[in-house]
Amino acid sequence: MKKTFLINDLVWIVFAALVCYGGLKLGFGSFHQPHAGFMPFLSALVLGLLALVDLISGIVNQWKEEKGDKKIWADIHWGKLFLTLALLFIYTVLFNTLGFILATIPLLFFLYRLMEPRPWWIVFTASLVTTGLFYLGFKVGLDSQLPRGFLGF
Amino acid sequence: MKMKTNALLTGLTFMMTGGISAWAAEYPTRSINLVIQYPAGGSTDLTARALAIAAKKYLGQPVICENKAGGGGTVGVALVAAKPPDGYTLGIVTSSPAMAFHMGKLNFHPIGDLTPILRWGNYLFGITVRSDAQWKTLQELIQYVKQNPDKVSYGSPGVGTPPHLAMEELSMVADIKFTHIPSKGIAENNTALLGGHIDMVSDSSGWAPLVDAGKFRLLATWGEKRSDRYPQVPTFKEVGYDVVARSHLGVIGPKGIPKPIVAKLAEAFKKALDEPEFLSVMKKMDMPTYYLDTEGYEKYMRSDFENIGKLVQKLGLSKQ
Amino acid sequence: MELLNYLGMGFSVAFQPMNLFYCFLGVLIGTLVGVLPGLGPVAAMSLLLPATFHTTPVASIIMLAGIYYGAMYGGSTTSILVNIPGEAASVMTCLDGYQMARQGRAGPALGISAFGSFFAGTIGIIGMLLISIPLVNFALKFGPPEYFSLMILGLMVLTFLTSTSMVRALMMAAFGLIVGTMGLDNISGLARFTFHIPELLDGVGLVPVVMGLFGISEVLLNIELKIKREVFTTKVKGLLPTLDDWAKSIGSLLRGTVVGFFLGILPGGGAVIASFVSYAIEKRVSKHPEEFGKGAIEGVAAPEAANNAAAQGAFIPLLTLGIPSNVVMAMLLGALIIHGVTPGPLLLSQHPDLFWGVVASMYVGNAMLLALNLPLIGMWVQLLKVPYAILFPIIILFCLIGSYSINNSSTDVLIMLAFGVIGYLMKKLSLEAAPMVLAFVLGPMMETALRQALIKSKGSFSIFFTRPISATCLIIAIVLMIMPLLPWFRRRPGIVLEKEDVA
Repeated sequence: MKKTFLINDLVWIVFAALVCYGGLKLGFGSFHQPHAGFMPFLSALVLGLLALVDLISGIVNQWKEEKGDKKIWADIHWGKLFLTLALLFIYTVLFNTLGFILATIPLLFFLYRLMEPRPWWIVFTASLVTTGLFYLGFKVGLDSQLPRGFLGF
Repeated sequence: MKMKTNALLTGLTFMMTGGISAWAAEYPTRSINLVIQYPAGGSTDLTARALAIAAKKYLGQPVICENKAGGGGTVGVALVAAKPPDGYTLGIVTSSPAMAFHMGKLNFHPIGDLTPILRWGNYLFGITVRSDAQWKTLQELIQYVKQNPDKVSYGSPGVGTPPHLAMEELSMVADIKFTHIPSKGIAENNTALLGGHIDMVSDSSGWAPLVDAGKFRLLATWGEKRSDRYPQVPTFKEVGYDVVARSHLGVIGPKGIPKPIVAKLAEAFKKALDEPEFLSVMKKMDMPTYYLDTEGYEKYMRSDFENIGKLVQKLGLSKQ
Repeated sequence: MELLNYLGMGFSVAFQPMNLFYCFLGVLIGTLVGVLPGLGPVAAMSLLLPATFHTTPVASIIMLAGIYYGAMYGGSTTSILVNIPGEAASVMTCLDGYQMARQGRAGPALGISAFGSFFAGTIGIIGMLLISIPLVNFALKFGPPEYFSLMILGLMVLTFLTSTSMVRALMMAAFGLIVGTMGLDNISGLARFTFHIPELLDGVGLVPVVMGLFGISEVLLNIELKIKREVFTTKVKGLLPTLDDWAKSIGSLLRGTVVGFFLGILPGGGAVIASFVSYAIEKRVSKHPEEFGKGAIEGVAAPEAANNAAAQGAFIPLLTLGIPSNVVMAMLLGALIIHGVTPGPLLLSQHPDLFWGVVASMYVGNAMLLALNLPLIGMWVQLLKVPYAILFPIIILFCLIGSYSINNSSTDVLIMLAFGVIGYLMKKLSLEAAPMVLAFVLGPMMETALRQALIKSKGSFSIFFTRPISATCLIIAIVLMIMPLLPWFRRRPGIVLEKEDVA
């Protein structure tokens, strides 16, 4: 049974229901004077109904046209994926505290090593160089405001 | 024991003041954002941008304008109110947030949650129709609306803006009914009027170029006296409807900006008011400069707030 | 012909050394701004506006205009190379352009994009000369009901021609509409779905969403694999479009230009809708529609021509009536007024040198952009030869810094990452991002148009059908919607639509 698409449609239905509720709380208004919840409610209603249609037709036809669960989720290196996401998340959160330079160097260090293992000193140099180039380009060239960390740079 | 605590507190206060002064002394160290609460190209936008450019000279850092329009000029102000009070995000404000507040549509206080910096201007509001419209004078228009209630539509820069409330007041005084179609600003209103999607526009002087070009007819202005640029156009007062639309126009920041920074900003903007380029743009929009310093502005905003409360109640628009 | 005289005057203005210089400066900055994420043409124009005070109004408008259409050129470059659209109008270019790059055909993609933009720009200028006034008057007839119906039609057209089921595509569009409602509501001032996060008061930004949905998700897809797979073919097949490419593209370029020009004149609509619609049209008229999405050169030629033609078209309401059709034009309006020139119906008669000078310099600017971009193709193609393992951290960093620098806000970066994950899941589930992005961009405008139309009609929906333009759009949309549903009951869902015999 192709669970992926089943779960997918269910998630959308639940999401749509939540947004409908939110829309009603904001106030639907009337067709004469639509209020803030008008658009969210209607869009979510459409989304939910469509997801339902998709779900039912999928069940009826047993998702013959879709790729199998195995094929979609095959050969995935979950570790790499989650590690990357975690790194990016942590980077963003610490970005302002550490400052651009201090935060970017370790990020790049990990990312460069992610796909293929390499000697650490090459990776370290590459991280420094890349960070430096970005710094030059964005801060000096474009005068973007890259944050200074607690160490002042 | 009390002495020690006193000493400690005094010491801390000195440190904080010292710290803030140091911060303020350096201020500004990078560019400042000015949020304009109406779309680009309108009267607020053009004059505010001119002001920002003039102020750069005295602040030493660029003042970068961005437009965040909507809600009759409240969205932009709401965004500014939510920013940190470090003096690097400022906004432009008019009477609109106070009007929205009394109508129950604002979830922050238009004076308490903001730091006034200074007042710099006044608007010219008026109503326009297309030059091929059947109404050549204000009286003709009002006559028509009396006989055809709800049939004439007008555009305004948003619910709770001075031109909108003025129309509401007019409707009450003259006992007539319009259909109100709010938009975000004068550019949208101009386009809609040109295309015939609305019958008239009540807004600030962004309609001037089209009036000058003969596409629009300026029926009346909402001021106390006639406008300098259009002396042949009557005011509503003259025609017999005692309605005046007024709005202050000033610079504000989020609540809690340290006083030294406010002082620096107020001084810079005050000097900017004398810059010839700024004045020429104001003249083009037929908007008079009107200076009030920080304290004076706050006092004015408070009294304006009271008056607006009474007006909104009179119009029956306050939140129940 | 009088027109030629004016054009001659325009060129003599455009070729003055100072104006040439400012033109070059503008298109150069514009290209950079388009390539680099985060900074948009509006921000760049805002920053440079004060710098133009020391020159004439003509020179400053020439430069600011150059930034605008230069950014259109630049935005396509990143779309093709790394699947990151420089701005909303370049989203469609990602679909086939990036695939072409992966097949080693980045050169031809970039080339057809540059030539196509130039072609569209040139024809657009001719259009400006000949049919500005009647076209603008037609555009003015578009009021709230017409806009609403047009946008519904636009959404329908796109969802109709995607490669997954229409139901899925419409679901994505609905999702896009919902995301578009986040933030402060324009008309009532209420905060919608902001979860008390102040940065969300202004809604979710387009740049983080697009970078996440397209850029980050693509990177995630490429690094998840256990088996090493070369993302970009190392064999580069040519730097310029081949004769065969040209033969295929010429029709697309023409159609894209026409569509783009007309849609660009409409205030508010412009380049985004133009690029989507032109792509959909190409797919519909093509003899091999299944190639779209896999590297069909027509899928690059048409949107590119469309978005540049739309950029030209957008100038018309500004220069003829003084009405800005989008934020960029509004900035130009402001610039003109600050310089003491009042745009409006009198502009042409009062400042003919400005009008014709700007028009002529657009041609010059387009030529400069072509000359600038073509040699760079070689450089860009070399860039892609770098192994993906080294390339992807740079792409990620590019996205991170780009989305941060819009508002100096980490929240934007988090939004981008969130949409990266969403985009990744969507790709896994064959849910398409393009309808979502289009709906996200159009949603707020659609909502305002809907509400204004309903206020005017006092709640009656008949207004959409009694006005001719609006009715036409809606009827076409309804027809498009019904057509595939009829055989649906007999067929299974998920059928790739181009296989159906849609009349």
